[in-house]
Amino acid sequence: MTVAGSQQLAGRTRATFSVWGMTAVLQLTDAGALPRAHALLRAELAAMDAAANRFLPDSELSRVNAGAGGPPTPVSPLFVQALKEALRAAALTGGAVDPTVGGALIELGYDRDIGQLRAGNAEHPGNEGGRRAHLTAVAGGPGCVRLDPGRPALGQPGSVALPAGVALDLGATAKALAADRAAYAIAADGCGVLVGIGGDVAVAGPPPPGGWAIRVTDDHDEPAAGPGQTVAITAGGLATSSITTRTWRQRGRSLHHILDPATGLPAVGRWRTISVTAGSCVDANAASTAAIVLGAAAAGWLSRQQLPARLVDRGGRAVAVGGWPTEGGPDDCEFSDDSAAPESARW
Amino acid sequence: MTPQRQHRVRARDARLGQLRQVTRWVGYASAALAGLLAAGFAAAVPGHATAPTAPTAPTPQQQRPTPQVGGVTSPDTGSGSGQLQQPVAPPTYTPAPPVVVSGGS
Repeated sequence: MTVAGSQQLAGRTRATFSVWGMTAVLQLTDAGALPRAHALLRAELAAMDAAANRFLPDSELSRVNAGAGGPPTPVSPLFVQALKEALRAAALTGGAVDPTVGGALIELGYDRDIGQLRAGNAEHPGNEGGRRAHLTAVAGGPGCVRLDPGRPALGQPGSVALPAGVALDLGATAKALAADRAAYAIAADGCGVLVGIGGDVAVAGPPPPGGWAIRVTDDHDEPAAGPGQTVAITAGGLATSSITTRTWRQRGRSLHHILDPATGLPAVGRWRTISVTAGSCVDANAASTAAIVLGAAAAGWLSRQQLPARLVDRGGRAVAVGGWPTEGGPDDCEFSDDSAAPESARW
Repeated sequence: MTPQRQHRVRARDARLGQLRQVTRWVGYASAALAGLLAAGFAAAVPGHATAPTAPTAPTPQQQRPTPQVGGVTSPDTGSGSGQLQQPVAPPTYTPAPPVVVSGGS
C-alpha cells in the first residue's frame, strides 16, 4: 500500500491518494477535521491490508489460505469481521458472491497484484486455468469455511479452517468494509464524511446541503466529466462493479475479476457495469457484485431487494431500478422487464 | 371414624399441604435459577447481541460506532440480519459537480 498526498492537510476538506493500485478519496464537511480523519483512514487501510490482502505473503488471509487442509489458523477480530461480512454477503446473495473463489482466481492467473499481472501478461505461464478454476470453485463454497469468532474480550482469538484446496478472496467485501469502518470512525466526531476507495463509497455523519454528489461510470479512474450519471446520497454507501476494469489476458482470452461461483469463471451476463446504493458500502458492493453475476436476473433481484441501482449493458444502455433517478435522456430508461432468461456461462 | 383417627387424618393433610407449598417454592426457585444461568451463559458466548438489530437501515443520527476493533470503530453493517440493508433514501439526480467517481476498480 502506498499513501501519498498527505502533506499540508490543514485547512482543506479533501485528500486523495493511491492505495492498492486505486484512488482513495477522503472528503469532509469540516476542514479542521482533515488531519485526524486522514490518519484514521490510513490506519484503517493499513489494518485491512494486513488482514485481508491476498497478495501480501504475511497477511492473515495469506496465512489462512496457506493453512488450508490443516488445523485452524488464529485470526484477529478485524479478520473475523471481514470474513463474517463476506459470508453474510454470500448468504444474502444466494451464493452469487462467494469468498471461496480465491482458488479459482489463482487458477485463472490472478495470483498477484493486478498491476504486476497486466505487466506480465506475456510471461504468465499457461495452464488449464478454466477447467481447474471450475473444479476449484465447485469444491469450495461458503459452507466449507469454519469460522470460530473467538472471545476477544477474554483474550481468546478467533480462528479459521479451510478444506485443502480452498482459498479465500475477500475482494468483494473487504475494501467496502474498510470504507464503512473509516467513515463511521471519522463521523464519530460529528463531521460529515465521504470515503471512496476505488469506487466503493461510504458516507456518514451530517451530509453537505444537497447530499454527496457521486459520478457513476465504468471506471473509478475516469474523469468526472466522462460518460455516466451524477447522483447524490446522504447516508450509507454506493458501490459500482464493472467487468471493464481489473482485466487481464490469459492464453489469448480476456478475463475479469468478477467470477460466477457456480462456474469458477468470469461472469458472462448482459451487464458490464452496475451501481447500487444501500445502507452501507459493504452491502452496496455485495449487491453490485452479485448483480453482475446474476446477469439477466439482476434487475429483478435488485428490485426485490429494494436496492436502487443503475445497470449498464454491454452496449452502453443504462436502466434504473428501485428508485434510482433517471436522466430522461436516450441513454437512461426505467427498467420494466426482467423476463429474459439468465445467460449460461461460456468459456 | 374415631376422634383420634380424625386427628391423624387432619395432621396428615396439614403435612401434605406443607409439602405442596415446599414443592411449589422449589419449582419457582428452580425456574428462576435456570433463567439466571441461561442469561449469564448467553451473555458469555460469542455473538451475543445486547439489543435487537433494527430491521431497517439507521439514519445518520442513529448510526453509532460499535466497539473498537483494530484501532478504529466499526460500523454495524447489519450482520445477522436476513437482508441487505436498504438505503435510508434512494439517490437523487444532482447537477452539482461530483466529489468522487464510483466505477469499477
